[in-house]
Amino acid sequence: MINKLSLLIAIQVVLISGCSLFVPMQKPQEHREQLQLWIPGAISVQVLSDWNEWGGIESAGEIINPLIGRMEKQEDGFWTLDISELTVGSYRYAFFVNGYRWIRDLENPETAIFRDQVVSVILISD
Amino acid sequence: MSAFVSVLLVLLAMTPDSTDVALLPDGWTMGWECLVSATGNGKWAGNHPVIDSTDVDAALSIMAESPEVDFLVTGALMSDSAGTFVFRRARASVKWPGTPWIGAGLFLHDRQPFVPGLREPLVEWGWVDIDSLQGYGFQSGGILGFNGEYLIQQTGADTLTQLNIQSPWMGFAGFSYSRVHYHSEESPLDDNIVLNVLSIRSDFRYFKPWVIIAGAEGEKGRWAVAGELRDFRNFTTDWGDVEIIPAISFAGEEFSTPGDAFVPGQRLLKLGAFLRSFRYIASAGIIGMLDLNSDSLSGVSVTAAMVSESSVTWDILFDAYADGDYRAVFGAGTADSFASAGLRMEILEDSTRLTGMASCTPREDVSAEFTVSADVSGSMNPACRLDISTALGTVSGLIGIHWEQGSDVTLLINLRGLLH
Repeated sequence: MINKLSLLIAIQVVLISGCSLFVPMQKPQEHREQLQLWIPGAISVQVLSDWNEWGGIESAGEIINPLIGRMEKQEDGFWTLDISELTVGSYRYAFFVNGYRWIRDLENPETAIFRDQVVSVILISD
Repeated sequence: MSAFVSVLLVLLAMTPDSTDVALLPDGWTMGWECLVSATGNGKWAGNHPVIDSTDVDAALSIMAESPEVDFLVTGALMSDSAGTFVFRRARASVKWPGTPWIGAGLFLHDRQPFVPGLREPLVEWGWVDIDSLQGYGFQSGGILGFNGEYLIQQTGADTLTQLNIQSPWMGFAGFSYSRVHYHSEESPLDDNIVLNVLSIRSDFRYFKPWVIIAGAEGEKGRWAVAGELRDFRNFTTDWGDVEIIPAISFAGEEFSTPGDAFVPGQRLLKLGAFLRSFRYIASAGIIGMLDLNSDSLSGVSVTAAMVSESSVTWDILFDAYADGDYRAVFGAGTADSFASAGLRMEILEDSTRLTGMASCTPREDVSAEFTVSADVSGSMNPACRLDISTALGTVSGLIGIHWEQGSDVTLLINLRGLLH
């Protein structure tokens, strides 16, 4: 009985809010040479990657430099980083939020593994 | 130890900006930066926290630059378990005056070998302990657009040499070549590694082949080849496009590298389809894998993600293999600038872990997150953690309190900062 009730409530919720629950949010603008993450409540976001020795994790000292890969906060909750300077190659990367949480790029369907975590991978061509 | 770091920080903070030091010749600029990380680990004993161990790391970099000569010295200090400081890292590099495309450098615990693959690397970070590496290298470039680098480093009694050459884009193709040679004096047979990696990319207008050929010297079967056809997009609309990527990944029976790019003996065919949206925050991908050699790598991998108009984030990952292994991750959450909440379920063969998360950001520079998780498939094994973080300019702080069933409450305090 409880299961049926829960299912009914869930269906109601989906029906009521379905219009916006499963309609994707529009990007502010399309930048192919820019990484962006929508996370309005974050206080800091960095892109850690093969191209920057994972912010310092993979260099001596293993200290993440807070300026490496630092994303810029926009007013609409987006954080952005320009990657137009990257040279040709294949790079794994992830977003490092608030100094402890790893998030893959939800706009990029290609994934790889780094330190047993699912991260994103991008191929920069000529 | 902490006092030393404190004095160092104070002295550095009091030092005026040194970019216009009068002693420097005209045309030179000089700068410095100091990266500091202090970490304390402890546990909750009785009704108060007890710090069991502390670590303080500091890295001071001094840079001098001119139009013709670049000079960079980085010294890093780390507190070891005995509470004393040990020298950690240094680098000095010079470019030949008048010919800025020729350079040389001396490296101490600074240059780690890394060779990327198409997705996973052939040589992964951390293969050689960075604290054991010291050596020198040469760089050249500019000749017809080619760049090259040769590094010779010692790690204990062993020698690591690396050669990297990168070609320019030549209209229809470009390539890069890497050679890594690890020579061990003590175990010449087993621990000697020679790896040659040639990466070729091309452009046939409608698709772009990208091929990696790798070979290790010695016995037969030490070879590997991987290739992908990129940029094959037949389904492009205003909404987004679908990229179809056929791929192969073959490796000889005796081929192994310190990375996850290849499994010895694999004969893997892959076909992927990836949806990317130009206008919306949504993506999806599916890869089918067929291992002609064994079933262990045959399977399917699915990703899907979206942020909805109502600020709900959806994230789905699913991997299933022919030998029965599988993993599914489903995450959903909602957020605004003040608070967020979410749920994540991770299903493996023998466990289903459910995690709930709630966070709030009372100020632009302070955030607190509370997570609770449990294995709902049986043992429960509940765990929870509270993370409070702050970020002020180039300084960030983190306090983490973690508990799981059967363990003490643990405490982590970390302070990181960059002065410059």
